[in-house]
Amino acid sequence: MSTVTRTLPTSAMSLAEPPAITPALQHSFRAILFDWDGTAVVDREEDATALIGIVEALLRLDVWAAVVTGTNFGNIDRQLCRHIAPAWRRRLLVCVNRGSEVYGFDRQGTSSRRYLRVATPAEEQALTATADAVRDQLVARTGLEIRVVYDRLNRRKIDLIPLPAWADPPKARLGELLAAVEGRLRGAGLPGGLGEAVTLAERLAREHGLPDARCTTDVKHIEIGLTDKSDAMAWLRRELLAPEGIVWRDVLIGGDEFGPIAGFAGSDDLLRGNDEAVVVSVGPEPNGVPSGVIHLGGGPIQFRTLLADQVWRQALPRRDQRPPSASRIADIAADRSPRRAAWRMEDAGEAYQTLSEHDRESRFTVSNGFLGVRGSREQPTVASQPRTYLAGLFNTPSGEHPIPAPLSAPNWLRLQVTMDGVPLPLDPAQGVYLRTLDYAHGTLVTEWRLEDPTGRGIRLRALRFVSLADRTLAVQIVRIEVAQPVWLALDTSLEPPDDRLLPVRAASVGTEPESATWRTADGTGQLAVAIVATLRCGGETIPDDPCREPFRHRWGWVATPDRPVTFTRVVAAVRDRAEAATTDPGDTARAALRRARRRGPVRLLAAHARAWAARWAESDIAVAGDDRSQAALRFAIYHLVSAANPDDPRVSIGARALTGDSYLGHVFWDTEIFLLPFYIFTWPDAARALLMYRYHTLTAARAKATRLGYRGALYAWESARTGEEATPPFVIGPDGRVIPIRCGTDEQHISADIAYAVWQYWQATDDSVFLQVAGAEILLETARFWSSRSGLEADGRYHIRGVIGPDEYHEGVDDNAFTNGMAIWNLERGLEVATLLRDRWPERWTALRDQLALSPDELARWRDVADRLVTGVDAAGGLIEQFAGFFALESVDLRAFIPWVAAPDVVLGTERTRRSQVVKQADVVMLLALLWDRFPPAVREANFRYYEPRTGHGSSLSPAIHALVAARLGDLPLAERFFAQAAAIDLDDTTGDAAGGVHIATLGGLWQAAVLGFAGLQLAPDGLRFDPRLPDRWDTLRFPVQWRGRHVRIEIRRIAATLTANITLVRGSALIVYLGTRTHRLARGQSWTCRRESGAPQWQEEAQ
Amino acid sequence: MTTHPVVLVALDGSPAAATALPIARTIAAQLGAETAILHVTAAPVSEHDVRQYLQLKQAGAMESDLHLRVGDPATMIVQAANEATVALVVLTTHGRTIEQGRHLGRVAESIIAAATQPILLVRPEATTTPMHHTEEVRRLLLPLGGAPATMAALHPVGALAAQLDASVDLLYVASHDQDRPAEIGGIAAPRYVDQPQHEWPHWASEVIERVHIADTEWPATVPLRVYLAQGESGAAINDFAATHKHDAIIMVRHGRAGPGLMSLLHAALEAAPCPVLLVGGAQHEHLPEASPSRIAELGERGHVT
Repeated sequence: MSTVTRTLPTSAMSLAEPPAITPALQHSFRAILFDWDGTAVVDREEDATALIGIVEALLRLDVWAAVVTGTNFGNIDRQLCRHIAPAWRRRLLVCVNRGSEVYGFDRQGTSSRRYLRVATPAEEQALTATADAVRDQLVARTGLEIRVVYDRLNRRKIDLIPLPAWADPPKARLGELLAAVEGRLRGAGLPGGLGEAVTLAERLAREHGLPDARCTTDVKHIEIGLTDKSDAMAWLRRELLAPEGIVWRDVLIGGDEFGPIAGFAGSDDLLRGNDEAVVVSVGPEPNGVPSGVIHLGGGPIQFRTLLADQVWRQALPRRDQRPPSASRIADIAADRSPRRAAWRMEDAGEAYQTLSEHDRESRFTVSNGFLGVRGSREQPTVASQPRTYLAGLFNTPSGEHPIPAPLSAPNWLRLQVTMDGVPLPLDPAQGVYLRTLDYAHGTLVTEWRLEDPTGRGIRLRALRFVSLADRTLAVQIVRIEVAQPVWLALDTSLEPPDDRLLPVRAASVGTEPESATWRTADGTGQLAVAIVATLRCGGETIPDDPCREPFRHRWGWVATPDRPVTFTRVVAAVRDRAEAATTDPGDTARAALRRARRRGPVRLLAAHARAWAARWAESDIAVAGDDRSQAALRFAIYHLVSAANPDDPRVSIGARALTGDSYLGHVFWDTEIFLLPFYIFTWPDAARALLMYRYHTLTAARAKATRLGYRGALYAWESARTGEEATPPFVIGPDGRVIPIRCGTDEQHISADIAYAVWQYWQATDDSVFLQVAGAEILLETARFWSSRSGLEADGRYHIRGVIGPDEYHEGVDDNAFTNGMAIWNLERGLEVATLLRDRWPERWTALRDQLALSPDELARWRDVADRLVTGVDAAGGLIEQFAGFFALESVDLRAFIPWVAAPDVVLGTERTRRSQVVKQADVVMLLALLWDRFPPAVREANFRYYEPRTGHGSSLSPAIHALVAARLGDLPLAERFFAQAAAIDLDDTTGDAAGGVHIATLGGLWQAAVLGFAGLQLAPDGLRFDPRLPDRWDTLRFPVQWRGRHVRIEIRRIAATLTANITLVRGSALIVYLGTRTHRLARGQSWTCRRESGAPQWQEEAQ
Repeated sequence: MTTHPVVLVALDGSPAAATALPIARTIAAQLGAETAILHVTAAPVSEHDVRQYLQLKQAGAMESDLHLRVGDPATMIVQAANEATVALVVLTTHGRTIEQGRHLGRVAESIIAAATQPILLVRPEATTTPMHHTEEVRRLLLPLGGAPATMAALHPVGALAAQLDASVDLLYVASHDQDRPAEIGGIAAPRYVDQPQHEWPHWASEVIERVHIADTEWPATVPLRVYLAQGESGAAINDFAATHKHDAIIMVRHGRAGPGLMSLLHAALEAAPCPVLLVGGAQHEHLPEASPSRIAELGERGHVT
């Protein structure tokens, strides 16, 4: 069996690495016009399944595809058209018979001929007479057998080499064919060879009354016809491009014969309709290509790769060809076309729902990992909770139980519009308020339309973003339009700050830019804000009225319908740690703002949009067939990208990211276990910064371990700025009783969780600098903690007693399986990194060993603890007891409580929950997810089936992990159900769950469910392992991942009962990829495709 | 009756009904209102006889307190209750007789369905504790489902609580007999409690925020607290009220006293440890059991409160 995996020719290498390919190809084309034989397929017998899938994907993405070929429609239909789903054929055109016919499809997918060049009887006679004359003259001069093929529409073919050996020569043998034909003709007395024969045909055509005959050659034949591919191109220009408004620069033309053959232009040269179109050749082109044609080579494989790249680009937000203006971005956000539907979230069409306003503000947050601005209205209502969070800005109140809490910068978005002296009402019930979050560009566009009591209308369209290109900057651009002349006034201000922010340097009126600096009440941080606000109309700045208050501006003007005005406010916000401050952060803010002013809001927006496009290119997941899942994943990835800042290694991501007040911005194990996989595989710089936060808080972790009587590093269950334990010691429960909170001391698995993330990052990135500088120390110190935490008892085993596992319904338990399992793993990695350092970086090892006072005896104890720590695994059945005594607890049939009316421990009561086998969230199941390969398949299955029915999912962290594990086990209906449950947590408007911020860990879990679950991605020592399975409703799953500098794209597609997996290495050196039991060394530029029929146990490499 | 605010208490001469009077007078004092005692008879009787019959002297009632009406008790009480000056109607859940297995008399049920003013339902069986006779109504318990419509109907609760100088405890009951809100803007008892130390404070504050969003005129002087209980709704409410010593349980008729409210009311009245205060306007056309013919029928059968 042959394989689709081919090493591309050297000349094609650049293609498969999009960032390195010709810039002209880094474009989302709206129409792709291409030759068939030799370009799209090797020959007409080839199984075109791979091509079909790619073409269909393009059609689904609104791209027009046109085949331009000399063959007939039946051949193209047989190989391509009939295999494409009828609903998507509408944008497919087939130009056949060398420009004489065009076929298209209606909405039902039925084909019809759109164009036919009808030859007159005289033309038919002239064609035949010309062909016969050419044949006769050639035979007369050479004595060779020359044949005429008559049965072609509007043309005749003269076979110059009708020999069995050359009956159907493949394009790949073009060079040999040329030599054979030339040798044949010249050797028989035609010294000019093929060129002379074509010249003869042209002359005879004119003599037979065909002055405009199209004489071409494919080397084997001379063709004399009434039309050629240029006629097809003319039709396409007239009937497709012009009506659809497609410009040539949005057209990609593909062929394999542009260069000259025997002195004549290649047949595909006729496809070159316009110099602005991008033209590529995948043919061998032995004589080179004309100027303007990009020669890729590589044949149909390369062409498919090119098309696949287009699918990828089409699915991404369109990269604008010119810097996007604010109004253009706003238009994109407001674009209601289905093409954009998956790239936005909107309130449109609904009445303004005040009671769900907090949820919406959370969901519509714009954030860049440093600044997080909730999606609050520009004119706050009673329901508004406007916040601008700065990552790492906390204040800790004094008192017996000081718990750090995040601070918000003053609200800088506020606007007040007055119409003819009457302030616009703030009643949310009035007017139309629309809010659209544009995931692609990371912008929030709001629109407010209303009329005053006399019927005068006004529209405010506001765009806001926090720059992903310069994280200190936030921008608001508001366009104000009126329906009739009216006197308008615009008041803007900066709301007073939180009273936990104390002024350091107050703003002075009239300075440019205005700025102010505050310090936190606890003295640990400073915040500076600088603002510039302008109002422009028709390119001119409208001066504001003098105001005596800093940051307050007022403009008044006569507004007319033909003169809309644009208000722009650019804010620079800077946070500094007071203890580290050497300069006034106000200076930094003002400098940032001056830079921003020089660039102007349009360029700021363009840079921001480019930064988002780059992130989407590295992280988007495309799902076809299930719009809800697609929407959930885009929402998840949008917030995951928004949450991280690769430039600040001293902050991490709180449980609600920068989207809401809840959880006080505190950092939990969520970051390492639920979020890190996304960053490790799509944004390693962000992953490293997050892990460096743990390195910088190692001192606090050591102090906590010491305080509790242990050694090494025990990380805070909740941490904020410093890494010190920030867990509240108690809470007033919903029944009014005081609930002691023991997580701050007893939920210790977080140390192993962080070690796990460090190791995963190291394995996935090979970032040896990080490992030496920070990672190794974390691994060693956490291993040391587990060694000191474990006690050897009379049974000859080590035990860890009195902990809380992920299942927090059961506190103070002994030998929690998750904790112990992760501790063992942590100890082993500690030993492994010690060996690794000793072998590869002995100087660093020596320094670290001395610094940590690590002795051989201590390392030996780690080994002993790892070997003899209780695991809870039943040797016979493989069932893992979640903690000592779990199996003896009351078994509760949780099905009786579905649908849950509240969290399980509320419904069942705390005491009964504690005495029963009701599990709060994935615990043993989480252990399976993290340490998958350590458990045999039967053990995974048995434990999942045991614990899944016992899990009440009282934590939002639980459903996505169950989706992941169920998917890996192949229980796709269950996986799909858990996936939907996780997706609903932040998107459901009826529960209030998202009011305090989005559940960023759940969103990370959704990414994991899709990539680690359905696609089955796992790290292998030498590459990546996949084990794909798709839910019933998913037709396609497509995503990129990175591994040690390589950029890999994966597409899993289902066509009927066949699952196809295509893996492409687009950047970086070769790696090994595993697909089920198959293994392949994937070189740069290569694509590897395998398929699995439904029910088949193994993947098969795709046949050619 | 009078142009001053009035707390109307209906008495039928039964010992059960008499238990409403001290509470009515306490609340009237809190509201700065007068107490009006209403007695309905089938035929005209002398005021003196009624005073003796009702033992008003022993109860310390002033002469001006008594108002007599002739006719159908339910109709007459509703008519009196709907007068503009009536701030609150106080009834016992039943009078002399009550059908086996019921916790709300037919007359009381009819009044609940038809009266537009707040009604305080006093359960005679729950008035043995001195609190209900002597202590002021300062702590109100308001069961809440989290549906936006419920939130939007809380205005009369805030207004009455402010007049009483009382606090309001909002109680969610996680119960299979109560639907979770399914409308946009609803806030349910949390399905996910990742970390109770953060989830509960946030949830409680979000519920309170939503009350203030739904009723922007919620009095600043009325403190709100939020609680969550679980179990069968009526029992859970009663248990919570008993444990936390609430002075009244509030039930909101937001536009209609539909089957949900009535069934919850019946459930609560089965063992309510304190009076139940019904606020919000009722629209009796929605309630078959409150039709005029039904009221007339009940009157003819001689049922009084």
